[in-house]
Amino acid sequence: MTTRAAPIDSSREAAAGLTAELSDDVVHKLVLRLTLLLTLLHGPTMVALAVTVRLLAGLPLAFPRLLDLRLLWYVLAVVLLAGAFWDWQQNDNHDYLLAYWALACGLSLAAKHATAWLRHCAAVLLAVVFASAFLWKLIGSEYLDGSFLYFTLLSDGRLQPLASAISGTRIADLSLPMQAIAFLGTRGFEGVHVPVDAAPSLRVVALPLSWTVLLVEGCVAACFLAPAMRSRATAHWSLIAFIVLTYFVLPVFPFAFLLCVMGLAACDVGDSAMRRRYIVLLACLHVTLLPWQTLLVP
Amino acid sequence: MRPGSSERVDKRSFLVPAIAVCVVGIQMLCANLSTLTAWKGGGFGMFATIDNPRTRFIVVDAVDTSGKSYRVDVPYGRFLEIRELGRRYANQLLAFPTSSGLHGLARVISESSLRAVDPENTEVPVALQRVLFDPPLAPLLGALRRAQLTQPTRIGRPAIEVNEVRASVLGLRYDRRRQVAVLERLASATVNVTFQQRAQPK
Repeated sequence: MTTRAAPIDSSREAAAGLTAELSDDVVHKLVLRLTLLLTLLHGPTMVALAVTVRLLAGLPLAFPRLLDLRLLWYVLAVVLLAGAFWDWQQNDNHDYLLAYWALACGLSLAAKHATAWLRHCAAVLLAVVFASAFLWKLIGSEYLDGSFLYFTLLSDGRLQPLASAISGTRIADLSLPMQAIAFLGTRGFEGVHVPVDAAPSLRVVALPLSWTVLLVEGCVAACFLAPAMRSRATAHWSLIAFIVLTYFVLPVFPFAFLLCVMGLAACDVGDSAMRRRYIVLLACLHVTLLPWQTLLVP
Repeated sequence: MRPGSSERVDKRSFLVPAIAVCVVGIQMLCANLSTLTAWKGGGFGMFATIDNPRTRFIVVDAVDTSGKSYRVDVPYGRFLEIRELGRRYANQLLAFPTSSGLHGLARVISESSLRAVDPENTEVPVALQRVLFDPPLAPLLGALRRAQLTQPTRIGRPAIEVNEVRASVLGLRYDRRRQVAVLERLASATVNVTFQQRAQPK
């Protein structure tokens, strides 16, 4: 006759679970699962790959024994890489990063100390990503004086409610330069100048915001690149600041999610507090899926 | 335990970042030395430049045997209907316009049947009348001849006798000093239609 397990005191045990030490092994498996979850929900949509990728990502989530199967991760990485490069003209940067990260997860399973291996790989990969973004902003002539962000505030539908609220200009007026450009472009009129002065007051906001993002990106790149800095809180707080500053204003959920997962993997040994911060941030990211910008539209 | 002398770094953990660095390097070269947009190609250059596929436009011009130039309507959706092309081709042309890619488009258009269509309204749309275009837009609209891809048929207007087709991609440049945006040609390719091609039924 079997005996039933004692009922769980859910509130106390759940609280204990949340505040318990997040050990290396636990975090490593959590990182793998979160990576698969992201791939399952936001993986490639290209018909030829979508089913394969979702099967490869879903099976280990359903059957935990498959989580440590290196071959599965290698196949997943190859398929994601193939998709990223085949559809290069359509894909965004996070599609490449997800492919790199899947490969890193697979290779970590072959390492002697999987968590340490993945921690180091995550830190260097984060440094490469942010150094590239930082470099692009330096060599792109429109970023440093705020022109790029000013233009984006006028033209990007996700930012227009915010831009309208800041400048007091109607969204229809903000869209005018971009409408004019589209009109010219569809008719092939080159050499026609279109004034981009729909809301000059936005320039006051665009310049400091541009430099803030630039400096935070540079800080993330420098901190994760320098081995002595990686274990310090500065590196992780910079990354968290970037995620909050950027993706709560301009939502790109898959990229933000992936950066959180990589940040979680890059946390120092025994740094449960910082690991929990990333987990909480992951949960809070879902707020960005809500159309909060519509609240700004009168 | 803090990383340092007690935790040796496995050099194989640099493999994946090295792959990323290679891809970023190639993308940066293509974007800075050629016409690849910073937003594509895995270089993490999104949100750094105004020029992106959304601000690029494919333009096709056809010149008939009398020297008249027509702007061919090739809206994005029509790419799916043009044989040998597709949405992927259009996206490639927008992300990385090259002479060879545009040559393919020009060749397909040159082998298709084109018909002149009525000129569109020469008045600037009401929504855009407040925009101070330089030069003014109305004369440009008045001078624009348009043509459309069409099925060969005996009724209706005769097909244009095409002598030359030029396919181009226009990209946006932002003049920071004057605070104006202007579309400029990034790449183009021209196909001359031979007498034999004109003689063949389409």
